[in-house]
Formats: sequence, C-alpha cells, structure tokens
Amino acid sequence: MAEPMIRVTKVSKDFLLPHLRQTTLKGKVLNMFRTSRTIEVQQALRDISFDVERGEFLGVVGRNGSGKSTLLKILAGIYMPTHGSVAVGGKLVPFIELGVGFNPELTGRENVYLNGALLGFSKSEVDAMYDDIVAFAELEESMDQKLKNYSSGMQVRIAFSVATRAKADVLLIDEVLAVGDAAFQRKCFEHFRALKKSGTTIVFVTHDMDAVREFCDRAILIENCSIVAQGSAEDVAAQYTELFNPQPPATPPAQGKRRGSGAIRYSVVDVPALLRDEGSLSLELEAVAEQDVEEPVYGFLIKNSSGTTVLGTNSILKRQPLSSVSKGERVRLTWSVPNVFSDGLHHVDLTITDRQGLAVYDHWEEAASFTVVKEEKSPYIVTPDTSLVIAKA
Amino acid sequence: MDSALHDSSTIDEQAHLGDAPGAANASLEALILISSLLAGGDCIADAARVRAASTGPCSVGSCTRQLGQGDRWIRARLYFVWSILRTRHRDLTALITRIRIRYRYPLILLRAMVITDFKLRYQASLLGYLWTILRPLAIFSILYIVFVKFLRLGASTPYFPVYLLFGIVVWGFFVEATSQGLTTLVARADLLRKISFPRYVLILSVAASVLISFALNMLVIAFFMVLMSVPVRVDVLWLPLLFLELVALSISLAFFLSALYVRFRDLNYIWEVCMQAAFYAVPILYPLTLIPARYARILILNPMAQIIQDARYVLVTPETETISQLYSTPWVRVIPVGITIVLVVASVIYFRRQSASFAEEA
Repeated sequence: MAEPMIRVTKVSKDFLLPHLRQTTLKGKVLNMFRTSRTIEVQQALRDISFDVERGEFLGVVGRNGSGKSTLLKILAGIYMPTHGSVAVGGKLVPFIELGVGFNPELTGRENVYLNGALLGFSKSEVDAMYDDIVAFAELEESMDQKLKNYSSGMQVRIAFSVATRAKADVLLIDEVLAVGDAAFQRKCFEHFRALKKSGTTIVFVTHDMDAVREFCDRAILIENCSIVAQGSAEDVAAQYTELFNPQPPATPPAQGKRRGSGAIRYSVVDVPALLRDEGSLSLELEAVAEQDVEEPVYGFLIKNSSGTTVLGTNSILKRQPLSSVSKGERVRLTWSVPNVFSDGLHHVDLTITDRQGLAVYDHWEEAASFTVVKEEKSPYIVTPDTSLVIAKA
Repeated sequence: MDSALHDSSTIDEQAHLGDAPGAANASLEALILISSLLAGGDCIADAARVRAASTGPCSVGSCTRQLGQGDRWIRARLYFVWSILRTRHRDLTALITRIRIRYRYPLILLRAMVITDFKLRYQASLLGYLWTILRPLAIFSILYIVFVKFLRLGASTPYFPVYLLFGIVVWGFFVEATSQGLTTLVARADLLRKISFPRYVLILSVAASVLISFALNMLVIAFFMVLMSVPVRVDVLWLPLLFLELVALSISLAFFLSALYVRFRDLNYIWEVCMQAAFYAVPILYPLTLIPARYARILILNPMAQIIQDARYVLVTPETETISQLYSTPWVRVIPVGITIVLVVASVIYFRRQSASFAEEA
C-alpha cells in the first residue's frame, strides 16, 4: 500500500495555561462579570506535518520542552490537536509509560492481567501468554506478592514484559529505555531491533543520539514547537548536537558565594563563556587593594558541573615572587590554563589569601563559569588531547 | 466486502471499506461511521483511526469525523438507525460481528476495572464484602428505630420495614453511582494522561461495581420478603423495566457530572448537599400520603420518586401511592421517563464533546 502508516497534517496544539483556568464555580462566576477575559495560550506545537511510511523507524528529537512528548501524545490519541489532523492506518500501541494502571495493592499476577487488559488482551489471552511473560521478566517466585513489595526494577521488568506482548502495527516509544539497568536496556533494544525486523512501524522519542543513529531510518528535529529539520538520522543527529553548540549559554554576571576580609579583592573577572577545541583557557583578572596587604597569594580552582575539582593552583605553587600591595593599588593577573577540560559546564573559584593561607582576603566561589564543547565526549573529569595509532604489528 | 469480514476475526478493527469509497454497502458504512464516532479516536483497538480538529474534517477511506459538532453526530446516529432498519439479513450478521469487535476492547477494560475495584474495595477490612450488605442494613436500622418506632411513620403501610429498606437500597444505588461516578475521571487522571481508551469505560466500571452491590442488596430484600411473607404479584414483572430506568438515570447523571467535574471542582460538594436535600424530597422515609396532594404531585415528577414508588408498588405492596394514583392516569409517567431519556441523550452528547480534553484538564 502506498498510503503512509501515519500521516500528520498541519498539526498545532495550544494549551490554556492551567493557573489561569477557572476550575471552580466561584472563579467562573466571578469571571462572568469581567468584560475581557485573559486566557493565556501556550503553543506546544505549530504546523507539524510529516508522514511515516510502513515499517519505518522514525526518531523524534528535540530539547526538553520543545513539544516532542506532546506530539507523541497526539499520535497516541491522548490529546486532540487544536488544528490539523492525524491519520493512523493500523493498530497503535503507545509505550509512553510502562506499567500503566499498575496498582501497588494488587499482586504481580493481578497487575499482569490488569495491564494486559489496558493493552487490549482478554483474560484468556493473558492466560495463554502468562507463563512467557513471567519467564521473560524472570520473576517466577514473586508473582503472588503485592506490587508494592517489588523493587522498582522488578516493576519495570514485569511491565516491560507485558508490553512486549502487545501486537501493534505502530509503536510509539517515549524514552522508556531511560529506566532500568544496562542489562535491561540491552534487552529493550534487542526487542525493538526484532520488532523493526518484523516490519513494525516505530516512532521513537529520545535524547540519545547514538540510539537515533543506530536504529532510526529517518528523524525529525523539533525546536520551538515546529519541525526545524527532517532527514536521515545521521544529519538530524548532527543538527541536534549543533543546537547546543553555537550559542554560548548566557552567563549572567556570576554571583557566587563570596567571603573574606576584602582587604584586597577581585574587581574584574574576564573568562570566555565558551571554550571549544582551543588550546587554552585564559583567566584575565584584576584585583584592587582596599588596604595595605603584605604578600598576597592569588589562586584559583576550576570545578566541573558535578562539583568535582578539576584543577587549581596559586601563585606560591607557581613560584611567583610575592610583592606587597599598598592601598588603592591594582593588580592585573593573567592565568593561562591548557584546555584539558571535559565537555560541559565549569565554574571558576578565585582566592586571595596571605602567605600561610590563614587570612582570607577574598574567597569567591563560582566567580565565573564557562562551557566546554568538545568533539570527544568523555565521562571523565579531564579530556586532554590524546592520540592513537593503530597498526598491525 | 469479503475482506472486511475476514479481517473481523483479528483483534484489531479494520475500517477500510475497500479502496473505492462507496464500494461497501450503506449499512456497513454507517456502522463504521458510528464505530469511529463512538471510539472518538480514543481507543487503541481502532485500526483506521482518524482524529480531526474542529477546523476541518479528515478522512481515511470513506470514514469522516469532525469534533465538536453535536448535530452532525446526531445525524450520523439517526442515519445509522435508519440503515439498520433497512438492513438485509446477511448484512445484519456482519453488523453484529462488527459490533462485537468494536466493543471488544471496552468490554475487556470494563471487566478488568470492575474486578480490580472489587478486589481493592474491601481490602484489609475485617468483614470485607459483607459491608456491601451491612451498610444499608445499618442505615435501615437507624432510620427504622427513629422514624418507625419513635415517630410512628408508616404505620398504615403494610410490610413497612421491607418497604423502607427497599427505598433505601434503590436510593443508595442512585447516590453511590452518581457520586462515585462524579469523581472518577479526576481520580483516574493518571490513566487518562497515559493511555487512550474509551473514556466512558471509567464511568461504566463505577456503575457496574455499584450495580453488583445493588444486586447483593436485592438478595437481602428477597430474604426479608420471605421472612415477612410478602406476597409476590404478577406486577413484579415491571421491576426490570423500572430498574432499567433507574440505571439509565444514574449512569447518565454520572456521565454528565463527571465531565462537568473536570472543569468545576466545586461540584462534588454541591452534589453531596443536593443528595442530602433530595433524600428528603424523595418519599423514602415517609409515605407520600403524609404530604398534601398538590405538593406530592410535584415531588412525584422527579424520576427518582417515580421509580421508588413504582418499584415499591410492584414489589412490596399495592398500597403504595404512585404517580398514576396522584394524577389518576398512568400516562403521566411520560414526564419522569421523558426527563430520564432527555438526560441520557444530553449527557452522552456532553460527555462526548468534553472527552477530547479530559486528558489535558483532569
């Protein structure tokens, strides 16, 4: 059949902002007498059109709040589009959440039947597949316990196990893969791979570009409520990554925690907001002395977004001659730090102390922040330029 | 045509009418139309599903649907009824098959929800299901002692204890079905937001649970009737029809109130007060003869009053003052029955209109 499996035509979705809705009679009555009503409309999707062909694996990517999940809910028939239409040419099963309708007060067995019913299985059908479901979830022993006594991992396993039985022409998947341990995720991916082979049409919403590249035939990128790119998974994944790169995050003048006597304090902090694959980071600083200060020591620390100190040093360690500063004098400092940082946000802490480190003149946490964007994504605290040569010996 | 029938054996529903519009015959076409209308695009068992917004129709095959247009919906329904009437026998079989498939998923859901509800309802309570019967019995005992023993009401009515208990049980069904139905959409908002299924199933599952309790209570009534040797008359054959009216009235109000409650969260308090007031406006405790006739004539127009009095008349004693006696014609029943029918139609239309936005607002 030439007809696409899913046809989305000019779909828009508006939400009325809930805090302005009159949900009580009092509010309604009071509002009746107001001549102009202020209803704020929030647009979640604007003019979305696309087709999904039979057997296609479509990735939907976009930032948080871009409207991906709303789109999926419209496809699933949970929300109605404000304008436009959606046509689905087959049985559709949404994996928007695992274990829909699960009740903690019921046993595992009873929940399987309940969840099965929500997926459209009659009791006799669940009877027939019950043993398989339990075996797949590897929960033979605990089926007669109440669900509230299950660990969350067990709940997910049993939910997924039921969900995999659903026979669908179209499957909607909303990042359910984010839950569960690595072994479970592998199981999920294997299941989806098998589904893809069997010709099921799949729409997959995710942030995981590796998964997009691996599974999706095609992808669409949603940004600010509309489709900004669609095409091959590779291209769209690249554009998605690009979304995060070009604009340096607007760093408001950092107002981190600051303490110290203030006898000498930093007055100018100039740190680039964005660091790509440049060789080094330069911290341009200026300090001003409010009083005479004997032999101050200037230091800094760089922390990553999880608060781990990446590196740091001070002027004693650098064996810089210490000179005293008299009242009103300004000191210029320029630190140059090799760019060994890993991808992500970093903060700079600045200090000025006395020689022994006992008197603190200025201790400024998060005096500045910068974002590092690197080709190489590594989970470790530093990502220095490493090189590799592989050759057969 | 044949392929459409063939597909009927699979779980999902096919709404293809062949490639050429009009290839299928009119009755099936109408059936598909009604299926998709009833499904409201909110049923995962729907195969060819179309969701269109109010800005325009959209179509798959020859099935078209628009939201927010009640008149169109009614027209489609009338067309459907008309097409059933002129259906040939062979088509009728196909039609029944289709109806079976269409309602398969709602029925599965309904069953699962009612079973879950019963499993959960009296969990961890010592007497469990016995409470279904004990509650109305306890209320009955209190009212009996206060009103019959102390205030000497109903001395003139034969079998007054059964008469009173029966009234309480029927009224109890009405109150439970409407007030539990009222909150059910909001209470199950989690479900509404996560999966699409026919929303009316939630209301029906509440009604079904309450109906089961009602059936148990009717056993108690039967027991008392035997105990007091109340004679059973042929009139009792009217009882199913009266219960049908009761159920239709209760469910339609539950539909209407639950959809309204999504928007107006004051409604449950208002309804609670209304039910308190209505308990005295309906002749449950007192025989209607105690009321001056001109007021009684107004009170009895309330469908609940008509149902309770008629039901007592046919089951307990012919010495019950019913609407026929007050107006000295049985045809005046047209008014309460008419109210019920109007409520059924209006509430279904209202519920359907609102159901598209339940997921967002509940």
